[in-house]
Amino acid sequence: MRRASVLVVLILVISAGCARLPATPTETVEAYFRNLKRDPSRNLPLLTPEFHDRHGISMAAVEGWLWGDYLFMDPVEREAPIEALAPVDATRGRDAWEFAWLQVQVEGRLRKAVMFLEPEFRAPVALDDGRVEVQVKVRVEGSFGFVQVFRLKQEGAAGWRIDEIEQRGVQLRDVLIAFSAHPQASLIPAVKAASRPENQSF
Amino acid sequence: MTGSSLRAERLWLAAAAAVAVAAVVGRLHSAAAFPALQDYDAAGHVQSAHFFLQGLLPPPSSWSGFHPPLYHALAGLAWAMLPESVPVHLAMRYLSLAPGLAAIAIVWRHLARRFAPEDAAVTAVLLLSIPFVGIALVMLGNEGFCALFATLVLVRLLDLPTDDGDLVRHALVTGLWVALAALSKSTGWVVGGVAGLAYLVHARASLPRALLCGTAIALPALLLAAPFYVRVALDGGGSPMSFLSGAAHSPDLALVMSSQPPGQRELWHYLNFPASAIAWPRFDGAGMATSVPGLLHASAWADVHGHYIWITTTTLKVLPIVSVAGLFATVFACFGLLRIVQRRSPGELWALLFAGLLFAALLRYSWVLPTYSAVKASYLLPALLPIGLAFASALQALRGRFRSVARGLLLLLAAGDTAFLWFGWWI
Repeated sequence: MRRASVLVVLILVISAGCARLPATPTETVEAYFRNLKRDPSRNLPLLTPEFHDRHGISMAAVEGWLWGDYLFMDPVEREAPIEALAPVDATRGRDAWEFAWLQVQVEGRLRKAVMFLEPEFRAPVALDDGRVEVQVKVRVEGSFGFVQVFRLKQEGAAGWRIDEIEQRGVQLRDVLIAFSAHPQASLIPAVKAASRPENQSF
Repeated sequence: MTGSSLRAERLWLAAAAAVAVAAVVGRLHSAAAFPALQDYDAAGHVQSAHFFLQGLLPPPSSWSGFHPPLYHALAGLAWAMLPESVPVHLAMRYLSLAPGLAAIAIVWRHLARRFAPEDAAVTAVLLLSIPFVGIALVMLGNEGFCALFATLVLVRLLDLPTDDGDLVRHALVTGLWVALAALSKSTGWVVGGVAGLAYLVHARASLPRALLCGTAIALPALLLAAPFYVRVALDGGGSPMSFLSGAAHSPDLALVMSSQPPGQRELWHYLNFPASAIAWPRFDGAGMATSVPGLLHASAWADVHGHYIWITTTTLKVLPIVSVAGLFATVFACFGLLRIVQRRSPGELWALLFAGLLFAALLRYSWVLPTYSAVKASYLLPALLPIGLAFASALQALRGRFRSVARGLLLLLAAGDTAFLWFGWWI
């Protein structure tokens, strides 16, 4: 019994040395894309709390992913439009936005879409507000792809964390892949259109 | 024991061991193969672990914030320690699987003391393979820990000591398991209540001793777990539902839950069993949302919510088979429950009382939360010991060839369910 306890403690101590935070802005962004594909939960510590104030993903907006194709129905088919449900989320704390952001990644089509991401990282650039910007060219087979701009800030022991993401040059045919690279409320109408069976490319 | 009966016993044990190994390997494989975050309430559990990773308590208003903290605190610790190569959801799944397997091992050990070794082994292997047990343990969540600590409490109630001093010491250790059960899931309080009652009844001849035992049971839980529950109760406005569902804490969660059928429960929903519970054992089968027994059966022996088993032409053929087999197994277990009642062994009756209370709580929960997802057999996971006692008692009641046939059928069911639960066999 004593030997087993010593072994467990030893494993924990060795394991503690294994956990490592990304040291540079580029490492953080690389980890973000890696985690999207393999381990979405690990992206939570890579994001600042303010990040979740910006993406606009709420439970009201993603409940379609939770309970079937509710999201992809026309407003007339739904009991209430998404917009009518959205303020319910606003009554809650930041954890509601964080939860919804993670929850949306459960959806099967997004899990498939992230596998299509082929990021190319560019050198980081310092911004006037103390943050650092990392641009990523996201290639998508058969199209120009799009650019995903990460703005990161250094937060003590937490290292470099993603504070804001912006996408540029997203074409309608790539919208689901772009959404999988950065779930955000502004893309939801286009995602709805692209997700209809007749428009699905995968 | 004659040579031939010894050979027969070894044969049964070897067969059970083979299925057990396959079942454990299957669970380890499935936990790794099951896609990220597809588990029941995965995002909520992960978010709670993330709060602990940051050194914070999850707010009760967060999706899984109403759950007691043990599982999520350990998950946060694992998250902090494990390298990036180990996905967080995988670590959290193994944190659910390990205590669940330990609980089944404990049940097996105690069944082997009371029943024939072959019956104990066959029962334990079946417990490993029942779909609701297998699926719940493969998924991340706090059910495994609650099952382990509830089992540790219940096995202690099977044989309470008669000596005064021993009984109080015995109660102290039981109280520690009760506290850990309450720190794992709110159903831990139910096993605490049963344990407290068991000690009080056992020591009823001496009031001071009975009170001492009651205190030993309650104190650790009150010191360790009660502060957390007070916090949740205050956030939930004192509603008992605040310990059971996040919907009591957040309007948007309540909104999402309310969008699920049937939306309202009636007495009839507890009294009907639709044919689709066999032919199409999923929540969207005809009449399923309005049948609590149908949902319960399909969640026990198939995958009622469709989270785990994907629908393909092959699984469509297999689902009715596992569902029918499960129905026969349920009837067999009910026969075993009758035998336990007839035997009137106090320890077993405490386990039975716990199972009954858990079942009643499940029915009550399905009434106050009238959604199909509120009816899940996985809520019965802490009742592994009474379920095991029921199957073993039913086997014990049979004689000669009938017993061998029953053992063989249960082992066959366990092997079938083990294959059925191997994630991805249908791809």
